[in-house]
Amino acid sequence: MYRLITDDSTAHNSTKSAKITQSVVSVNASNIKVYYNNVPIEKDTIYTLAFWAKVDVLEGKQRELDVYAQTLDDIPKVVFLRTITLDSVDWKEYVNVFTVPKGVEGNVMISLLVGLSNVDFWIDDFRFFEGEPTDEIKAGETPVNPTNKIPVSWGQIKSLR
Amino acid sequence: MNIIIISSMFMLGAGAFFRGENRIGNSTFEDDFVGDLPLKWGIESGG
Repeated sequence: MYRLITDDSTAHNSTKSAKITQSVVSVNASNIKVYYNNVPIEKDTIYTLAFWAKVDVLEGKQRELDVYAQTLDDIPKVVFLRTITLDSVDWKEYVNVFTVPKGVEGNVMISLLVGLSNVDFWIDDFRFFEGEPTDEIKAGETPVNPTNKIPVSWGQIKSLR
Repeated sequence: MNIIIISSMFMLGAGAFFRGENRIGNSTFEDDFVGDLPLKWGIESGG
C-alpha cells in the first residue's frame, strides 16, 4: 500500500508539502515510483534537480531512494540515476547536478524510486532547471537579466530625447 | 509614434525555458491539487 498526498501539516516553505507513505518494502526501488511527466530537456546540457525532504521521525531517521530521469520513448533511455539517502527528520535540501548524454533529448519523466524502504517522508520545493545550482531563478525573481533588453533600451532612448 | 514591444518570451517560442527557470510546476504543492492529490504528480507501482 502506498500513497502520495499534499499535506498541510508541514512544509519547508509556505503551507503545504507532499507526503509519500508506504506500508510494505518492495524487492527493488523502481517498484514504487513518484513521478512528474513531460519535462523537456536538451542534449549535452547541464541540469540541476533539487528538492527539500524530511523523513517521518515516527518511522525512522533515514531512508534510501533513487533520483531518476528517463526519456518517454518506447524504449526509455536513462538520463540520470543516483541513489541518495534522506537522513534528516528536519527539512534538508538534496541537490543533484548532471549532464544529459549526447544524443538524448525530448521529454523525460522525473521520478523518485522509493520501493526499498517503508519509512514515510515529505518533499517540498522540488525544482528542475537548466544549469548549475547557482543558475537557479528563485520564485519571484525575474527570469531575464534586464541589461540590454528592450525596456532598458527604450528607457535609454527616452533619456536622450 | 507607435512603439511595438515584442516580448522576449514570444521570440523564444512557446514552451521555451530560461536557463535556471524551474521546469516543474506545482513544485511547492501549494496549488494544482484535487482533494489531497497533487494534480501534476503521480505515484504508481511497477510490480
